[in-house]
Amino acid sequence: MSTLDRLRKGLAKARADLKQKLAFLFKVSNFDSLFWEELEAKLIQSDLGVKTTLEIVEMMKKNSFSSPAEGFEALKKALLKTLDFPLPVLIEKNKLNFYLIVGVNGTGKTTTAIKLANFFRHRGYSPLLIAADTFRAAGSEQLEVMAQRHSFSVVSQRRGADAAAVVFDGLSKAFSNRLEVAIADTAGRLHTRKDLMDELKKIKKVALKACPELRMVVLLVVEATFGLNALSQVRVFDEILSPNGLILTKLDGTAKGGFIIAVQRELQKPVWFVGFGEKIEDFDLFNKELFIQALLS
Amino acid sequence: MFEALTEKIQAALSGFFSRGKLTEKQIKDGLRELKLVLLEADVNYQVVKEFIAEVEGRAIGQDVIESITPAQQIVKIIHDEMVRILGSSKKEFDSRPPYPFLVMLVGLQGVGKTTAVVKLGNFLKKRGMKPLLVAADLRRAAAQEQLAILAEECSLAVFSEGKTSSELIKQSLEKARNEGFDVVIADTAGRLHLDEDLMGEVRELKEAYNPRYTLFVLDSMVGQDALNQAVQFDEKIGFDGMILTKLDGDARGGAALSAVKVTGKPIYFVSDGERVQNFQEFYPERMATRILGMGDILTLVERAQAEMDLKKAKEIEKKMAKAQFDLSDFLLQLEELEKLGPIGEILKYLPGGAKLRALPLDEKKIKHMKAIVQSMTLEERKNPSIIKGKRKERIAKGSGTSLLEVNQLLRGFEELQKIMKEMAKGKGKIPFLFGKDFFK
Repeated sequence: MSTLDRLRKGLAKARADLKQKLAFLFKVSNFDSLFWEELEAKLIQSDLGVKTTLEIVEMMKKNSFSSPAEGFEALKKALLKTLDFPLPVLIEKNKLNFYLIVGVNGTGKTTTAIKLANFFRHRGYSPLLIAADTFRAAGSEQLEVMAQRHSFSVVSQRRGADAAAVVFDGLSKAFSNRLEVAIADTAGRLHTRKDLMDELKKIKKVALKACPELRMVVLLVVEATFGLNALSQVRVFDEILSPNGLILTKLDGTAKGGFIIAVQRELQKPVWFVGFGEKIEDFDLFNKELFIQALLS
Repeated sequence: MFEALTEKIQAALSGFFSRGKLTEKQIKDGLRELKLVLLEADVNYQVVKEFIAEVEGRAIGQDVIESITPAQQIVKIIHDEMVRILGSSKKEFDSRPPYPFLVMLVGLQGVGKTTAVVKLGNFLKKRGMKPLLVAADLRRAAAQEQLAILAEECSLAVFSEGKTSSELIKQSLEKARNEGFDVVIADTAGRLHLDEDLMGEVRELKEAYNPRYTLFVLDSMVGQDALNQAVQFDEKIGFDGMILTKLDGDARGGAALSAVKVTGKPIYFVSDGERVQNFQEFYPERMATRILGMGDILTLVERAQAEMDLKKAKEIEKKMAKAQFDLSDFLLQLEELEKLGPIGEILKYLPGGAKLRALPLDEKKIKHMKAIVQSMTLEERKNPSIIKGKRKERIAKGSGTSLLEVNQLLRGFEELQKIMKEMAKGKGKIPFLFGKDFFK
């Protein structure tokens, strides 16, 4: 089964209740006041947030559409436009590309690290995993077990070790083995914890010290079930680490991660990857058409 | 980040000094602001609609209590209603015999179930109980190790021998009976509410071992989807209550209101930190305040109502309305402010209080301010513009302060008067507190 099919299948489960979904609204309605109210409700229920929703509704109201179908296309186009990012450069050739995976607790960073490694393996690289979650009990064990299951090499230390030291070790090993990809899982931390956020800054600094020729990619993991707190997360992580992009996980649930649109309204933060299941293959590059389709469907 | 609800509603209301019954327009304007605040706090859209309708029903025709503004009154009604909903199903967690009883934690991936199992175990241990934790999450790699390590750190017993979740729970209950454990707390694998197989598996566990409590663990950062998750877990498994996690972040936690309103099940506990002790019983008051993003302003309003000399306040208010507020009145207000209690504590109640606490305002500062005004002649208090070089020096000396402080106070008072004038025009603030700009 192709990634697309799997993603579609995942989405189909969520789509069971069609009446709840946006597209349905455009199938049955005229542009009366009830329609606008329903549109507002549906956009908000997709976690787009009040401000973004009101802007979109205003924008739609200004245009006069001849048919609901035309209105739907316009909405789709407007949403797609907010996601107009340049394609991410995944690998810079002849360099060690270091992916640092960060995020708040429970978003699926460890699973994502393995999935990302698998993604690069399929593109012909031999990624090294670095278990820099030295805080959570059994955090590095989880990565080790999963890595072993899928035969990836891992660098790790005991719990409580300095996360930056583990990264240093890992990168030194990757560098001396002339690897092109290393991926570090880090401990989940709430963005409100300044001390823990500073630790990430330190990891970044130490990484550049470990190999000056490093190409660093920081990716912030956010999960689709989040509400508008995701904005606060992106904002704070951006201030402290300026991540290159986002990874949106747990798209196999009923939530579709509409806050991604709200995030773009404030900060341009491209989504690089999506995760949509427990299997290692349930992971792919972000595809804005599919994302919007799922959001609206 | 968010302005206080009161300020927003206040801004939305016209006619700051209006008295009598709450008008329909005031309520409508206030509730429109409330809708935005609730949606920004991630309360589910449907729940917001219902909630607003309920509040509206309660607010219409209510008398405005003397000495608080219509905005404050509306906020109070809103707050009370939210507390009522959040707490309507509040029950004590029943930890009485017969022992052993089973508690099972369920929820989606990554909400913090394993941590919550240990925290709940520790909480019950502090109550004098003897808990046994069961590592029944066999799906996630190293989940059992995680539980074992955390449990060891607070000397809790863990059971983890068994090939299936069912076997694990069965044998742990047996062990509990034989070895005198009071409560068995089972961790389960995270699962998606759409996954029929995995949901069925938990339902079977529930039917087979009849836990006293099946608790749904909800992440406070979840958005609109909280409603879906809660409904589906309740329909497919049936839970008795909830644990709300990750409240140490800055999520407003509207998910809590959505989940309680739609399932009618109580929240028993909240988890708000990385440490095992960061786990408490749920207080509807605190949650309502958090969702509304307003600090404990109501506590302050209530205290102010109790403590303020209402007659004096009325006089001051009248003068403010005519913009005749002078330094003598200011002195009175300082005295009223002192009555409210330690400044640090008051600021704690105010929205954005943390920011205010950074301002140079404490008991000492207020004492100095009082001393400065007390060192002025009545003429000077009425007409501060006559206070120039020589007078300033005298006042500084008389009050045991410095020229700098005298200047600061005079400048601040000038600003305050400007605010008062604006208030008199109807764009006001809470009358018995100074505009916070005063202390900048």
